[in-house]
Amino acid sequence: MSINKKSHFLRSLWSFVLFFLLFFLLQRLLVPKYMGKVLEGAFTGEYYRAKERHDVLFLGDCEVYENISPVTLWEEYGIRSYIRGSAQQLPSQSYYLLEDALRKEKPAMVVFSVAAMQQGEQTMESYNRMTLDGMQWSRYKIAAIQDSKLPEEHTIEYIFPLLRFHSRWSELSEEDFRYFWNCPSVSFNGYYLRADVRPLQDFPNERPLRNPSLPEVSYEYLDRIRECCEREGIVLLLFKAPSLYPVWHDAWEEQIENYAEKYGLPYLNSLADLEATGIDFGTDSYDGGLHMNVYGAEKLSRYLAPKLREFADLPDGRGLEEQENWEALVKAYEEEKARQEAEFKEIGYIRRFS
Amino acid sequence: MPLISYSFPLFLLILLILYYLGPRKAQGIILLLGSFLFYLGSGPLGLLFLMFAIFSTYFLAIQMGKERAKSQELIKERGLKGKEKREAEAPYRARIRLFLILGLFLNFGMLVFLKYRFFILENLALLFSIPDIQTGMDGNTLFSVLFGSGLLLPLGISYYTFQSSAYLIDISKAKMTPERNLFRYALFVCFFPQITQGPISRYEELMPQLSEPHAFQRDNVESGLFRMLFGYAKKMLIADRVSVLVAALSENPSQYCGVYILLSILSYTLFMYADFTGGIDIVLGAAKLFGIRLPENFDHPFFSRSLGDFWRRWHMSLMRWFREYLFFPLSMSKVSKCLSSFFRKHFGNAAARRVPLYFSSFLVWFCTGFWHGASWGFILWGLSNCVVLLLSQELSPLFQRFRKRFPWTESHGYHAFEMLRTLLIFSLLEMFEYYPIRSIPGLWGSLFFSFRIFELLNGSFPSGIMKGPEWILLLLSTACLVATGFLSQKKSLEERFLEKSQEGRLAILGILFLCVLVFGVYGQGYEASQFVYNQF
Repeated sequence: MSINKKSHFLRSLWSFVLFFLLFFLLQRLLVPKYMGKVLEGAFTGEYYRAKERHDVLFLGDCEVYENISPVTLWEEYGIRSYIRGSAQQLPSQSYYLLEDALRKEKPAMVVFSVAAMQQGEQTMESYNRMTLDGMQWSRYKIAAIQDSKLPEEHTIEYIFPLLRFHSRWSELSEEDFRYFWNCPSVSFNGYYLRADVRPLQDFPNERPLRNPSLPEVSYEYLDRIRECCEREGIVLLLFKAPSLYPVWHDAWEEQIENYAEKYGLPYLNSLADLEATGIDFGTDSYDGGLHMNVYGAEKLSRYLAPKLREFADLPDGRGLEEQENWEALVKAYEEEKARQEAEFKEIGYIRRFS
Repeated sequence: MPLISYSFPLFLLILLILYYLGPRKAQGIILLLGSFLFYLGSGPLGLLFLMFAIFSTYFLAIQMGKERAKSQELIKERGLKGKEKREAEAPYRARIRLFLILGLFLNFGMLVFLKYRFFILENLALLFSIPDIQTGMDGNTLFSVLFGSGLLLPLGISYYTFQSSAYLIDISKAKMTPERNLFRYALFVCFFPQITQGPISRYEELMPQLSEPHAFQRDNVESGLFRMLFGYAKKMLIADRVSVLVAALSENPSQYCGVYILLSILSYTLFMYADFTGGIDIVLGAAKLFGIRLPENFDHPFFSRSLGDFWRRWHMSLMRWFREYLFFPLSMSKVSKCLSSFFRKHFGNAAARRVPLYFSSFLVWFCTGFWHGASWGFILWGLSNCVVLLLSQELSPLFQRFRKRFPWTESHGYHAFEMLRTLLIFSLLEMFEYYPIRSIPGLWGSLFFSFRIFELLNGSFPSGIMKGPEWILLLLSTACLVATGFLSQKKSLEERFLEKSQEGRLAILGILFLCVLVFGVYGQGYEASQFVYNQF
């Protein structure tokens, strides 16, 4: 190649490199950081930063990530766990998140929140985004996108999020610049800590169920979760959290019980065992009984821990090689809990949850 | 397949690779298959109508060619001249005319049926007081299948009908010999960049380019890309953004005073210009990628100093079509000649000169309006333009005397005034397109007698139309559009682009691309508004 052509080629190459750099910088600026009011979008990506091993993996929606405290499970019982939860997580997404996690580690037990079974298909694009954007690229992420996306969504918008979030240019805030390079963790091994209190309230009358059957597609992915666990030698536990609303219908309960019996799976319905959990809806919920606050989550975790050990051989992780990581997590958890308690005591609400 | 979609750039890329890496002889077939695939994206039924237009005009043109060849052979054989020659040619000319009429009837008939059947039915129903025609259209009968809303308007039907009909008319006049190769002819009719919104190309200007092989030339690809990106910027940064303002201000116009109506009509004009010229830039740029130069459709229309000048610069290919295939034939037709004779006899030469011209002009502008939309609003728009043009023509001697009398009429200031005046007149007449006809006199009244400019500052401006940064972006991008208009007066933007170094070109393309990606109106939350002229 002549010198002119070579120089020309190099200059063109530089132009392309600069262009792609600018493209990715713009993309980084425009994607939502989930560091402000809505934190749930950050949860999925935080999993990859966890250096420690986990013996229990929780999958599901807010019934796991707001109701169970992995810190309590470790501190008091030595159970090492992580909640791969996200807002309105579909069973299909739970399955792909499980396969994704298995690329990194193999837990002894998977706990699947059955409340998600009522949601066969996604209703809002933002839930898909919050669950899937944080996933590392793999064939599971691609499959999760293909199986979850709404008709108005495009796979290319997941590959290049700039195409989806470009309109945020007119809404950029200080958060987008402050967290441009990296975002600190906002959850505690996937747990969304809230120390505010709002006692139980009256709920609207639940409409009668038009179709009592849980969606077929939910069963399809529960089957895949079960088969995956069987293949990997992982114990699968089906779990129902003690949320008072939306109503968990008897028809659904029956179907899950039948499924559990058919496949010999343990099923734990803490809603039916409310007294044993010790939960007091006057103090242990932050939204009037829909979700637990940190006090409720810790109580539920204490209830759950012995039961988890009934079904799987979970070692005591305290004092092992990753002790430092766990202690750092506990410290951060206690500090955040204290900060929120103080803020709630002072002004009656909590300004931010991270 | 919409021009604004994720699939179109991918389609273009694959086609380009096949076009330049495949055998040069196969380039035509590659473009033809690509064009069919592109068109198929709008639905298989549309493809049927397109094929009908292609086959009918192709075969009728061949037949016309055969008749002409037979007539020429006969004349040559017998050595006929003068009157004998004309008499021998007569039956062949009659058959050629018959084929032409058949071709125009079939293709324009298809266009009229598909595009105007609702308009015709509704007006017939009004005229003959038929109350239940809507029920009939909504039912499950053959009537409802043919006349109901289920049968959609095929993409680009106005454009390919006009283009193929022009070809047929030119063949009938022996301007050229018919194309024998069906695939080449099909490509001429359905060449994908131009099928969605023109320009309407002449056979002799497009066919040679489609027939010859094209080697890869970086200049073509880069300037084609530049043109496309510029078009996307106009469409997605300006047109789609200002359409929100237009919608807000034209929704309930009677509540607004004159200043808001002015803002509404100027916004609509900006929308039309950015949308249409943006689309044409994308089309011309896409064609350039393949080494094909389509005719320009706009020539700085808002630098016009009169409405007549404006219409020589706006949608030039359509105006050219109407001028060559409707206006001139009408003006020289027997009807015009009869009219001229009649008026000369009864009213003198002045009337004899004017009436045929008025008659042809009104008919042409009626058709122009009707082409733009199946409604009385569009027809009135066309006719009102005609009235202003004819009035300008009549007053032309007065204007000339005025200019001679006052030399300052040659100053830049006065030229600027004329341009603004033309813009206003065009915008005022455009009101027929999107306001209810009955409301227009009232709106004009508000505009001239209830302007109230200070209403803009008293907080009465409708809020929530756009966020602050969006307003700034709209103003900035409009200012850029105006600036590029001035820049391109002396030398086109494409020429200026090609003068840049390689790095300069890549930088311009990169910046344009990122501006479109970041600031463009697309994706969720925005209406996937397709080009206004796609509905034709």
